Amino acid sequence: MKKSLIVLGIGLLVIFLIGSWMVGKYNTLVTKQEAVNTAWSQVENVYQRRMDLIPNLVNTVKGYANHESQTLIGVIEARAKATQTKIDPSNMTSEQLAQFSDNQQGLSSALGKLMVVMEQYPDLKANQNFLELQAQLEGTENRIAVERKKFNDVAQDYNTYLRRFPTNIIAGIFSFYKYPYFKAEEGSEKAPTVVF
Amino acid sequence: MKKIILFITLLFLTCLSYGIEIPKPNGYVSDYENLFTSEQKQELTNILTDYEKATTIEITILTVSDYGDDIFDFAQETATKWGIGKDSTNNGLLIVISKNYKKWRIQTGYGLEGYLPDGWLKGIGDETAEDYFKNDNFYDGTINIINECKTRIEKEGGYNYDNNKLLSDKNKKHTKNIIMVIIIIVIVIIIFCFVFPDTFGLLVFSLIFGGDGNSDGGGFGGGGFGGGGAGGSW
Repeated sequence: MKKSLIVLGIGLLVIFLIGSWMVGKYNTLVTKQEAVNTAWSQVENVYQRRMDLIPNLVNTVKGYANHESQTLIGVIEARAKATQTKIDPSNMTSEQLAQFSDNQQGLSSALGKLMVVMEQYPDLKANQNFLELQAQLEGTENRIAVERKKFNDVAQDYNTYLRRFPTNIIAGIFSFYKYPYFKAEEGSEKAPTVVF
Repeated sequence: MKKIILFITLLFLTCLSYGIEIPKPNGYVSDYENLFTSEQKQELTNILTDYEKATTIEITILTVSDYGDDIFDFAQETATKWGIGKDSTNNGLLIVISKNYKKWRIQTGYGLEGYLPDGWLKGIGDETAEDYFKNDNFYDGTINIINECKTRIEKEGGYNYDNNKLLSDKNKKHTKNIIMVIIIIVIVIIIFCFVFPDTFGLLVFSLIFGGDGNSDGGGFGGGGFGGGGAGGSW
């Protein structure tokens, strides 16, 4: 009689142990995934910040360099394209992220071209508003680089935890998936600034 | 024995090749380039300590003769590693000066980005470099930057720690999840200790209270940096 009670007790304990282990793993997965989602919204924030600067930039430049409108149009179009890609972080694929990143890179290139062209306008270079916008633009590009890296770091932390055994079993049961990473873009390491 | 020596050597080498060399903090004024006299250093430290006591904002000065390839990367990594600013409000400010390369960089923590915008900082920095750093007057220049920042923060309505604290709810979520996990663990442990008091009690206690928190190395509050700020040269 006593023996079967002990066996039952141990059995229950084992089930309890496994249960609490699963709960622990699940919750850590959730915490880490939330960290990635937060990092993603930070990335979106800093890209949005850049978008918000552009109308002001375009207006400032228009006054001085009207016949450079081709370059300006390039910037406006690139900005429009960049606003189109919306990603839902909870089921982000690497194709989506690559598309998002490419569109943003298109905007970076357009801005870079604009900055090079504006080199030829000394009046513009002396304009206080333009200088201020340039500093803000550089600051934004720096922030973008930082948040992309932070996203990659947090995603790596989550992905590694996810793929390790035996956590991957829990992950599979509850449908946790890997996040893609930002790839290094050509020439995106530094902001499109002009050295006078 | 040979294997141990090989292992230690490899470990040492990997530490060496780790990228940007981040210096160790030395309080609020880390003057590796020796741009200040000891009286000036003391004065600066007093000013910054008083400011932190009054507002919780951590302003830090760092002078270096070498910062690797890029002063932005250097400032960003150093500020993040040192964890300047309070953890809950990210109100840190790092001022980096390199007389050797004639470059300056000011890095704003997430929480100060609104008070000290990039464009404005660029203006202040360039002005200071032109008026002071160019003439090797680093003390007065640094004082100028600090005062301008203080004035600006005051003008922006003063810095209210509690108001800023409420804005960072990303930290709140994080804390909630940790609390949930801790509660579950504690319940399990309590049940364990009742069922197997001798074996598990001791083991579990040492597991909980054995580990330690992270070392931030410098006495700063653990604040974060998003890459904001400005830089320039003279």
